[in-house]
Amino acid sequence: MKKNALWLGVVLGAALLLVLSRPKLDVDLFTLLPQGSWIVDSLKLYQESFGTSWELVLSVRSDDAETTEAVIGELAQELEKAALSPKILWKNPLRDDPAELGEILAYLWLNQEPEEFNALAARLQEDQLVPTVENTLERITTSMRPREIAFLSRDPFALTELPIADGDLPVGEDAEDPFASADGTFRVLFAATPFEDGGYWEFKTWVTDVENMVQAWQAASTYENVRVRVTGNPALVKDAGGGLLSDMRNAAISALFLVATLFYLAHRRWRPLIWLVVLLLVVISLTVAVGSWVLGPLNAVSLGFAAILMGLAADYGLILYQELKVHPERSLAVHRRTVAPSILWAAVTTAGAFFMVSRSSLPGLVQIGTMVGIGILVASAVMLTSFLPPLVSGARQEGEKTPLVFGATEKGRKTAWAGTAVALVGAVVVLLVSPPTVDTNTANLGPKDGESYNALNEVRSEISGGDLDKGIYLIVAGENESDVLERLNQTAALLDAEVESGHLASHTLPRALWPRPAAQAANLETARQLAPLGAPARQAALEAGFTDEALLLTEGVFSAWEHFSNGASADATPSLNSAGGVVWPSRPGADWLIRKFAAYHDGEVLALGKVEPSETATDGSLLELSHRIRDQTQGRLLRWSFLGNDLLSLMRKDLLSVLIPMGIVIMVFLGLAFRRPGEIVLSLMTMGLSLLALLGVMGIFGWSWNIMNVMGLPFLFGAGVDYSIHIQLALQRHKGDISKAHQTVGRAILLCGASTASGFGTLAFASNEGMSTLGQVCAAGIVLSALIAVFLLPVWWRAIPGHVEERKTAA
Amino acid sequence: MKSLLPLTLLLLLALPGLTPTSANAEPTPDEVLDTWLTKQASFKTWSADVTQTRKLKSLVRPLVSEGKVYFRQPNQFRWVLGDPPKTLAVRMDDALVIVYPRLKQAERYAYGDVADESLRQALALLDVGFPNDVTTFREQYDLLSATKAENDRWSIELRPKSKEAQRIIGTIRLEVGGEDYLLFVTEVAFPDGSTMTNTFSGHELNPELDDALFSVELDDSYEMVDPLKKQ
Repeated sequence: MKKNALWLGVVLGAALLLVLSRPKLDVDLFTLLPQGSWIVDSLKLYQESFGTSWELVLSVRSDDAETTEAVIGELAQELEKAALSPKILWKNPLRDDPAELGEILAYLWLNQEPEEFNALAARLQEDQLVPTVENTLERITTSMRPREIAFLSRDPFALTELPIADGDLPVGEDAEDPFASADGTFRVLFAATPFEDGGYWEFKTWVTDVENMVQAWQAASTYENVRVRVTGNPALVKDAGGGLLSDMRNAAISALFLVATLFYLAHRRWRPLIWLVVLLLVVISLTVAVGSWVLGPLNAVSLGFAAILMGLAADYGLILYQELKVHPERSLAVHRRTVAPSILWAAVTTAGAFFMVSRSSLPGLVQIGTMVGIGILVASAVMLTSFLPPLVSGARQEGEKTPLVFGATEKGRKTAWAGTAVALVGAVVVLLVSPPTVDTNTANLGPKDGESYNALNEVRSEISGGDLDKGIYLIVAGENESDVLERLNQTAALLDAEVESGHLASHTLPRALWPRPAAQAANLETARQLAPLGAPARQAALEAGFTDEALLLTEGVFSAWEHFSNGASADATPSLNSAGGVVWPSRPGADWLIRKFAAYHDGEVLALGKVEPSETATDGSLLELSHRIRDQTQGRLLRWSFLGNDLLSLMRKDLLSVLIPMGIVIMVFLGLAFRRPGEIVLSLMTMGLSLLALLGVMGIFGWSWNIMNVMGLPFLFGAGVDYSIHIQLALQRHKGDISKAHQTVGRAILLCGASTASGFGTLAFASNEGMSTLGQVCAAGIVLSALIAVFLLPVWWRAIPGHVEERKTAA
Repeated sequence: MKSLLPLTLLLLLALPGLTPTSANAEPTPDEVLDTWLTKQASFKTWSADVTQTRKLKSLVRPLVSEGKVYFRQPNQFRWVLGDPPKTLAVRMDDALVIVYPRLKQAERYAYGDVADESLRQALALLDVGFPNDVTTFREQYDLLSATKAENDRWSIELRPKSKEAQRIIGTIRLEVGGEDYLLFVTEVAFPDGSTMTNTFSGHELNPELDDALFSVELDDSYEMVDPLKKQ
């Protein structure tokens, strides 16, 4: 009773530990992407500096533009009323506010060459105001350019006409609306998160609150045929995280169920079965607790460890129980002494193999490897110390001896040799005819669909901008604004040459909007002199027939010049934290605009541009261009498809950096475990034939390698070594008696193989394609390793001359 | 024979279109539009003086400019605004050339390259009064009404069919002669309440028009740009 209470305490303690250490979950796709890749770093930089990681997007579609606009406005009000978001944006803040646009214009003029700004100043002197306005009126009267008429009718002094070729404002009357589709029936609203740091659980709670608010609004609304959808990074994280958690939970439950079923089919005993399940849950709980403590936030993908670990941890229980059933008369200490070396060596070797995966470039895989490694060590300790004590007395009462499962006849040995030959030749033939291919598609790393993904695709198809699949963005970084400007000019020259040679159709760099500190310094005094002329300018325009409303832009320009020249906005750019006296416009509209192309990140100033490839450009030529830009200006050209090329070299690098040290570790442990070359060679043969057979199976079923499942190789080698150690140590214990080795360890390994393969196999149904293929390949590999270790390895072991002698001596 | 005359007159009067009732019936709006379209399409050439009045929401006073317009089937035209000319718009083949003599600037728009809807509509306004194809015109515009104004002219109100076009142009009003269906006014109302009215006078129907009117020769002092390629 005391012991049972102690074990119950352990279980409850572990569960409590897990609950208290509620793991922080990370489901960001970028944390799954390979580390140390220039392209991944660039994509991450874009997402962090210019992406919408902390914004939810609500989209509205209806039959007509008026309804859509009304609905989006109401939703914005509801969000504001419910205090769900500190910042809600659903229309261009510059379009409806000439004063906001005025500040941008004033800023742009400040960036012009001093001669140009002085020429404008001359047009705005008191005696020149009337002729300037009359000239504008004449142009409005006779112009046939709609844009010119629209601008000048609200700009009596033609301040919108900047003397630069690439100075077109991106917010003109006919500029594309970043909040609505062309016909206006589809609109989007951006709502910032109320927190600046958080993970899956925070996103989930907040997005659910917003969804509930939308549902409540819809229930009370009288609008018909209106569809509201929720997307953006927080919704994607919620959906992806929920999906991954559900996948992993289902995989773990299925694995547990399969392990339990296999155990029951093999032994038909409830008591050990229940105890095994309890201990497996303890192992998982302890591993999550230790893993979160060691690794910090866990990527949801890494929770796939549970299914894998379930199968591996059950192995130790199965081996222990098999020993107990075969030798029920032995004491607990004898059992432990007999099986402990086998379990401990297998655990250390297998855990070592999994820890080696931490050398992978994929953070998700690193976490899975580490978690499984930790779990194996925890499982070996828990099973060795805790599995048998409550079962020993029961086994003695049962007093049952399991009948021999496998014979070790001459015919059986011949069949095993024939099996070896067939596996070898068959695999080689398949590999020659149809070898498995390599897939470098990054889609393998993320979930494929879901409501928020579909909603995001709808936004992308209706409203352009911000979509890395459509265009190629370019980030130019520098120490300060002047540095960035210089690099922008260098990059522009390089891109101009590419356009000239036909590789690119066009490029857009934010040079027109980028601050020019030297010009600003020279123009500030002129701006100070112009500021007081705002009042007479207004008077002249009113007398010429302009309305008060038509003068808001002009007033905004003069007011901003006053503002700038007073030094109020130099260094006063809270969003950008500018340093060094550079003037940035600071009103909300300007802030919205500037964030689209400028950012500060880790002490660097970033500028964002866009490149339009020509029709003849290929991924290869663009990648080559990206390398040249990187080498010459440190610019980063971004495109998702570039990642595929990067992945191939990363896969090679990862395989080498994981497999070579892993091979060394395995050799060391095999040497320590066996201390004889024969056994070491046999273990390596087991792994080699398992791999060959797996490649053959992959060839037959048309499976391909990808960055995720290729990392299954260390798992397979670890499992192969594990099984070969168990079998060979059993053969040593039983003096080469295959029947006895099969009776004890062989049967357990087949059960273990089946349970481990079940664990991996359940992952094959995960919605994350990378995890799914990983589960698929590993399940097949484990089954092959177990079959080869149990049925072929003992016959090879017997073929070694020394072993036969030992056997004869034993006989 | 004499005895048959009253009967014959009676029969003739009974024919549709010859009865006194039929002669006084007002045509339907569709008939008015179709009649004007047919009439307009029947002119080989056409010219008139034009007074363009722009009433903008941002200005308290309308802006007026005088000029001349020439049209030749199927789609050639020349607009001249201002005296001396301040703006010249000439359609040649499939391109429109707009010349600003004072600025020494010229712009060439190839119709096939116009993707921007606002520009497309702006260009369409230049030839809205000169349809050469009834079907195409009907495909582009919905007829809202056609009523007789106090000056005995037909006032035909149209709206672009395309939703995109409606965001740029609210309605178009044509004022044509009550009997001769001659075009007197085209008025475009923009969604913001602004209007642009062209009032035509001094019409000449099928005049001899020099080919030079529908071409533009510019000297080297002009800067010619292609805004569509620039975009």
